[in-house]
Amino acid sequence: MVYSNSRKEYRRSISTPFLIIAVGLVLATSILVGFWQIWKNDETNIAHEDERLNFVLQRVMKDLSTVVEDTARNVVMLAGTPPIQGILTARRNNSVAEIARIEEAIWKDRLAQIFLSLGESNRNLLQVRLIGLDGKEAIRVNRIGETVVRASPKELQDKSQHAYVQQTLGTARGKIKYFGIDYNREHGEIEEPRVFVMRVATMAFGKDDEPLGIIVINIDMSRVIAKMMGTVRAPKQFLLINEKGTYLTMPERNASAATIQARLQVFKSRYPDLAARLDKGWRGGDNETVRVRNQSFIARIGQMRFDWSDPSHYLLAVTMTPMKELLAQNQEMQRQVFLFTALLALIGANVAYMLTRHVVKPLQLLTDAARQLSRGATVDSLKVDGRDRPDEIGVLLRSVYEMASNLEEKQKSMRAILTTAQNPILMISRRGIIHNVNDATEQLFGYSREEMVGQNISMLMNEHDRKHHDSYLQRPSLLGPGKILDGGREVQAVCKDGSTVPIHLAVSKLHIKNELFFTGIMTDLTELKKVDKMKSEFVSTVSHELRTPLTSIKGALGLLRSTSGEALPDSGRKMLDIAYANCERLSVLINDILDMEKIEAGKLTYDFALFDLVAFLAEVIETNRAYAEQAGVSFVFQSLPDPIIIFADRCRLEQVVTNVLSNAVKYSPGGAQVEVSAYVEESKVRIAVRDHGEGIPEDFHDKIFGKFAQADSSDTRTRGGTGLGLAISREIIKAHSGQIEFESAAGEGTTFFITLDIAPEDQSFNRAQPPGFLAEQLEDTRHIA
Amino acid sequence: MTKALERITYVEDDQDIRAIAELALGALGGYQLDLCENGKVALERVPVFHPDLILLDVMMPVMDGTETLRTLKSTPELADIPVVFMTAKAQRHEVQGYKESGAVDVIAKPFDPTDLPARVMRIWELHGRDHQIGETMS
Repeated sequence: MVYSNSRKEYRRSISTPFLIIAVGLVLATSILVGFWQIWKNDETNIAHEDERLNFVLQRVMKDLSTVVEDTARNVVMLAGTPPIQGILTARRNNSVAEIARIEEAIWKDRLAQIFLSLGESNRNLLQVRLIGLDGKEAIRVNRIGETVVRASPKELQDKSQHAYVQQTLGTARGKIKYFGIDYNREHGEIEEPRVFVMRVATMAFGKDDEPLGIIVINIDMSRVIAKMMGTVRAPKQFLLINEKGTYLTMPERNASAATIQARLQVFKSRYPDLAARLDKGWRGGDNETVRVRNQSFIARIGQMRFDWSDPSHYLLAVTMTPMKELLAQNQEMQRQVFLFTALLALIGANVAYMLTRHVVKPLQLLTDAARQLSRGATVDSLKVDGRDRPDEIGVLLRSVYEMASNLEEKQKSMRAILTTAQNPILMISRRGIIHNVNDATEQLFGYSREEMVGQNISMLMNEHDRKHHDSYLQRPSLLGPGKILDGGREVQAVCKDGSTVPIHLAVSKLHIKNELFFTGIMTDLTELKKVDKMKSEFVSTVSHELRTPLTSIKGALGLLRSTSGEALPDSGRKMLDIAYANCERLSVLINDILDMEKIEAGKLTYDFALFDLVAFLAEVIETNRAYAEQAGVSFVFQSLPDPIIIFADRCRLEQVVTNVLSNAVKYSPGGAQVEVSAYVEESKVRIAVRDHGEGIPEDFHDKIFGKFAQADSSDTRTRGGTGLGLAISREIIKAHSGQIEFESAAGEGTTFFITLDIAPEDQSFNRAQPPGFLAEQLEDTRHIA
Repeated sequence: MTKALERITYVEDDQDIRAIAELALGALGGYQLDLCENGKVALERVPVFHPDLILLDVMMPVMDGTETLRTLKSTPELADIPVVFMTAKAQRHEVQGYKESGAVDVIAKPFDPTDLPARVMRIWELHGRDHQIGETMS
C-alpha cells in the first residue's frame, strides 16, 4: 500500500479510540438488550409453564374424577339390581331351608353374573364383592389377567375385621363410601404385584329398606395413573399423593419398599419446599390449584376429595417443572444472544474501522506526500486522493496543497535571486562541508555544483587558509549572537585549474534546525585590484610629475634666496619668501595625498619599535621650534623626568605630533604659548597639546578629523595646511590602538590629546615581535596582504 | 680616513633640475660635476669621468635609474661607485626597494638645494665609514 510506511510512526492511530468506543457501545447495548430479553423470557417462560402445568393438572384431576364417579355409579347400580331383592325375598319367603337356599343361590348366581359382566366391560375393575352383614364375603369376582372369574365358596373370606367393612356397615341407603387410593394391601402388607387400588363401597338394601350387605368395587388405578403420567411430558413431573402421604407416582413394580423410600427422600431433599408443602396435607379449597414457586422449581398443586362429608380421604395432584430444566431451555437462548452480540460487535468494529479509515487514509496519504516533498519531490505529490471531498478533510488537503504551492513559488523566486546573483554565494556547515552553491560560484571556481556540494570548503582554499580554517570554524565565539561574523576579508580563491583569484569574503551565520551554518558571499576582486593598482600608479605618477617641476621651482627659489637674496629689495624678498613657503606647502600636500591614498588602500605600513616618548617629544618640539618662533609662538614642555617607553612607529608618530604642533602654532595668536605635556594614566600615556587660540567652533567639532577639513575655508589660504593632516593622524593613531581627541571652547583655545599604550614594564615580549594588540593587527594585515 | 668627495655624476632628465643641481653642487658645493640627461648617457660617461659618487634620478627616458644602477652594478669596474637615488618616488617601501637594489641612500625630491651639498657630504661620510668597517671586518 502506498501509505504503509507512515503507519509505524504514530504511537496510536486516530481510529483506535473510535474502534474501542464503537465496539464497546455495541457490546454494552447488545449485552444489555440480550440479558434483558433473557430475563424477560425467563419470566414469560415461567408464566407459560405455570399455565401449562395448571392445564395438565386440571385435566388429570378431571380424568380422576371421571373414574371415581363411574365407579360410584357402578356401585350404586349394583346395589339396586333385582338379585339384591331376590336374595332377600328368597331368605324371607321360603320356609323350606333347602328351597330357600337354592333360590338364594340362584339369585346369587345372577348377581355374580352381573358382577362378571361389569368386570368384563371394565378393564380396570379389579374386584367386585358382596359382603354380608356378618362381614363375610357372599360373592366375589376377581380379575385374573384379562378374564374375570367368580371366586368359589371356599375362597370367600371373612372381611369383618376390615375397616372399610366396619365403616360401611350400617350406613344409610345411597351413602357411598370412598376409601382413597393406595397400594393393594393384604393383612396390612403391600401385595405383590403392586397395584394402586381405589375402593368404593355402599350398603345394599331391599325394597323395604331391609339391608343385605355391602357392595364393594376395587378399581385398579395403576393404568389410569400411568395414563395420566403419560400425558405429562418431561421435563414436567407429575405427582399424586394420597392422604397417607404415599407418593403414588412411583410405581416401580419391582422396587423394594426401601428403594421407594430412598427415592422419596431424594425427591424431598431436592425439592424441600414442595415436600414441606405437600406434607401439610389438605389445605381446603376443593378442586382449586395452587401455584408454588421458588428458585429450583415451579409447581401447581391440586386437591381432590371423594366425599365432601368425609375429609379423611383425599388426593393431592402436583404438576411440577424444575427451574433448571426451564433455564436449560434459556441457555440455548443465551448462547444465541452471545453469538448475536459478538456478531454485532464485529459489525460495529468494521463499520467504525471503515469510517475512521475514511478519515485516516487521506491523512496517511498526505503524510507520505509531505515526506516525499521534503525529499525533493514536486508539489504535485501533494495532489492526493480526496482533495475534492466536500468535508473538512477535503478542505485540509486543498489548504495543504495551496500552502505548499505558494511556498514552492516563493522558494523558486528566492532561488532565482541566489542563482542569478552576480556574487558567488555558498553555504557550509560548521564542519566546513559545502551544502549549497549558486551559479556564480560555479563560474568563479570552475567546479560544477555536484563537484562542490558535500566536499570540504578547504578544496577552494590555498595552503595557508586551509591550515587555519578548521580550527577557526570550531571557535566558540562563532556561537555567539549576531549574524555577521566580520566585515569581510580578502582571501585567495583556488580554482579548479589551480589558478588563484583574489576575492572579498563576507561570512554570515544562520541556524537551520538548530544547526549552525555559514553563508559566504564573495566578490571577485580581480577587476577591483586592477583598478586599485591603476589608481595607485596614477597617484604615484602624478605625485612624481608634480614633484619634478616643484623640485625645480623650490630649488631655484632656495638658491635665489640664499645667493642673491641680499641684493633684492624688501618687497622682492618678501615675494620670494611667499613663493618658497607655498612650494613647501605644495610638497606637504603631495605627501599627504600619497599618505591618504595609502591609508585608504590599507597599504600604510608601520615600523614599530620601543623608544622613550619623553625624549621623543623633546626632539619633535625642538625640530618645530624654529617654525613656531617664526610665528612668534613658544613651546612649553612639561613631563616627568622618567622615560615613558612606548612601542610605536617613530616616524609616523613624529608626523602626528608635528601636525598637532603646527596646528597649535597656526591657530595661536602672536606671543602666545603652546603647552605640551605627557602624563601617565594607568597603563596609558596621554600627550596634551594646548593652544590659546580662538578655539574650534562648535559646529565644526564633528568634521575636524575629516578630509580637507578646515573651519574656515579661507584658512587654507591664510593659515596654510592641506586639511588632510588630522585625518592622517587619526588613522596613524588608530593603527597604534590609541586615541586622538580634543577639547575646545570658542575663544578659550584648544587642547589635543593623544593616548597611547605604555609598553609593558617587564619587557617580556620579544622585541622582534609586536606586543599583543599589534600582533593581532599584524596578523590581520598579513592575512589581507 | 676616507677619500674626499670631489667628483659627482648627476643623472637627471629634467633640464631645470640639472641647472639647479649644477648651481647647488657645483657653484655652492664646489664639487666637480658631470651632468647626464639619462642612464644611457651616464653609462657612456662614467667610465670616462670616474666620479666618486653618482646621483641618479629614477624616472627617465631612454634608460631609467633602476636599469642604470643594475648595469653599473653588473660592470665590475663601475660596481664600487656608490649610487644615491634622487627621486620624487621616495615612499618608504620604494626607498627600501632602492636600497635593496644597491643604492646607498635616497634623497627625496623636492630637495632643498642650499642643503644639498651638506646632505651629499653626510651620505658620503656615512657610506665611507660603513665601507671601511666592512673592509676591516672582512
